[in-house]
Amino acid sequence: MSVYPGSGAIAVFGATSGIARAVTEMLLSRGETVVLVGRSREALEAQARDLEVIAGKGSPPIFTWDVIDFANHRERFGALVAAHALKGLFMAAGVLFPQDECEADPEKARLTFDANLTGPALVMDLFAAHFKAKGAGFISAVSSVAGERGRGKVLTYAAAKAGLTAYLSGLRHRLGGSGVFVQTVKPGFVRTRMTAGMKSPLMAEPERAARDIVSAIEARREIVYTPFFWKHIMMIIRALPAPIFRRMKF
Amino acid sequence: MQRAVMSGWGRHPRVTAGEIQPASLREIPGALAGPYLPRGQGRSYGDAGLPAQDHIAVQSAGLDRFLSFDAERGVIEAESGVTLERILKAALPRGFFLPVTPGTKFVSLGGAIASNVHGKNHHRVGSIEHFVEELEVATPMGTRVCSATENGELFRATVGGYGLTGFITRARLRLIRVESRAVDCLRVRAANLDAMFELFRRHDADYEYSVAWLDTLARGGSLGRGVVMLGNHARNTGSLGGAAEPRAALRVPMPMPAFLLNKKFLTLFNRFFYWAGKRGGPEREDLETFFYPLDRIADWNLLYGRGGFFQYQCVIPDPRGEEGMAACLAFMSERGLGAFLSVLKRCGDDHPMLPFCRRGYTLALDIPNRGEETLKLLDALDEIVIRYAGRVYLTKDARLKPDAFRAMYPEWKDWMAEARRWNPEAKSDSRLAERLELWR
Repeated sequence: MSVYPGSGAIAVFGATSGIARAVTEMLLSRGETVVLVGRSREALEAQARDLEVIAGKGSPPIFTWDVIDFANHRERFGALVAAHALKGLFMAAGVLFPQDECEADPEKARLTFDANLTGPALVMDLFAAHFKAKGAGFISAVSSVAGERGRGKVLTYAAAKAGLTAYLSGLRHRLGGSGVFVQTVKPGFVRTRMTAGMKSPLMAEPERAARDIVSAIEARREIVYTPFFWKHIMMIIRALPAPIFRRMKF
Repeated sequence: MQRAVMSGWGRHPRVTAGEIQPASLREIPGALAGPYLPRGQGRSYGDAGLPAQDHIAVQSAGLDRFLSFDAERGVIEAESGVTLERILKAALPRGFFLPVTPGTKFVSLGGAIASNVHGKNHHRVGSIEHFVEELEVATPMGTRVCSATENGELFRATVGGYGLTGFITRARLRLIRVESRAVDCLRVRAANLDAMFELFRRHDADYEYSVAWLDTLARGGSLGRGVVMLGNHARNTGSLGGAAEPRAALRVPMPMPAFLLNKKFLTLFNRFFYWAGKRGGPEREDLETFFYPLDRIADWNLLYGRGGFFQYQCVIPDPRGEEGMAACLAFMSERGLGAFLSVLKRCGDDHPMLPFCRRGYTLALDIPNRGEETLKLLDALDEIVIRYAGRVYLTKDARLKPDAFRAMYPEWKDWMAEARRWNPEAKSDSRLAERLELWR
């Protein structure tokens, strides 16, 4: 049974990321069509080969598009819709650098904003207009619990994700009543390359995140925490008085 | 570079070392520029997966993509970091299963090859070496493709070579056909060791899989009592798909206090297990339950507390296999060296240059680490194993001494000569190799 009504493919951005990969597997197993979008053709080809083996539904199409290459967005979008009828967008493009690197190297700080916020927002603008004109379609984007209350350890990343969360909320407001569904995904710790080397008892598997995300798309839940308990954790963290929050080492 | 505290699955020893995780095969040459050790999922028990002093762990976890699947022949090609769990996910719906599987599916393909893993069907088909059609290994002397027929020596030094010839980047594995997810199994109790051997002899031919759990605290006439578990893939039940198992039903949240594993508790646990094995008659189990019972309990190694534990696995070859096992068990029982889960099984021969399995019996014991006392007992156990021409499995080992190793593995010099050809300056090196003085 399909996850979202309508015909057409779901474009998955940042397709080689851990969460997007698990989501793609699940979408394919549910009979959806997926276009893998990312900046490196080689990485996308490797991903498509992998999916062909694991999902057994042939090799999914790939499409190169670098979200930080702002100047080419219109051209890329035109080429994408010319090649594929689309019904959905899953946006998982993003980067995470250690905070000290962001502070030592302004390029990395800028990249953190461009790849997590500006690029994805500009891409979503194009999809939003396209889906609005059709009166159908969905946009689901991976933000982060880190965007809810900035902490020193991931300062720059948290700021970018906070911006993305606000952008998605604004997009949802703008598209209200248009027939387009907008979803904000807020993962906690998920075992992916991004969290390699991190140890936490709260670490979840990407398959778990994918299950939560896909079922939330199906149920049209606008904001989804994965795993669910992050909703409660963040409720507490947001409510902590500043003097206490400041003293917490995490 | 990030530094991290790491250990094997036994959580002893623990070392601090640099670690990197290449995200694709393209990053491999850069990752292997300095002194390193390949590291998969960290599921070997001792120090085989711990980098030597000043070496970094190059983790394969990011190399987790399939490359191809030949559905006609059931041959899967994958990067070395793909786990057996993921292979099962791709293979089972198409009617294929792993030809050989260890007791956990959370190991990497590369790690399984480097440890030349064996399973409950070793007496019938041998270790994973027979099913690796081809592998690619990035050695310090260059990257080579090898197989039983091409660069055969390098192949036989790399399979069961603990990462000491270089970094396995990808491999092709031949799977076996199954008709369902179900396993037809039979549990039979054996009142003592002789009855146990008799059961193995009787069922060797009619069951593909066999393994026995032993009550190592039983003494006297009950020495070696336990439950033999036998299984065959069920035919024609029609269900290959079905719901995927949850990754783990339970999780051990933190290292448990060591006193929980005292002798009283072990005795009770072992008695219960023996008692529970009573229900007779054939049953049908899902293969997840049959092959991977412990995978349902995430981080079960934390049950052994902060000090961790040793897994001691030895093989005693025929014709003295039965006699040797009896001697080991008598020693265990005499010293009150009770183990939680002790596993006995019949095995066949292995053929890599540094082989573990020999036609005979293999015994695996999980023993809590109580420091010096435990080490002394295990040293004494080594002597018994050596007396019966046996050997211990290095994938499980954290404490064997160099002399004992040389006595157990007379082939090690030939293997080392081949490993040196490809890794002349021990650029890929482990704590295991340091401890056993493999390069000397």
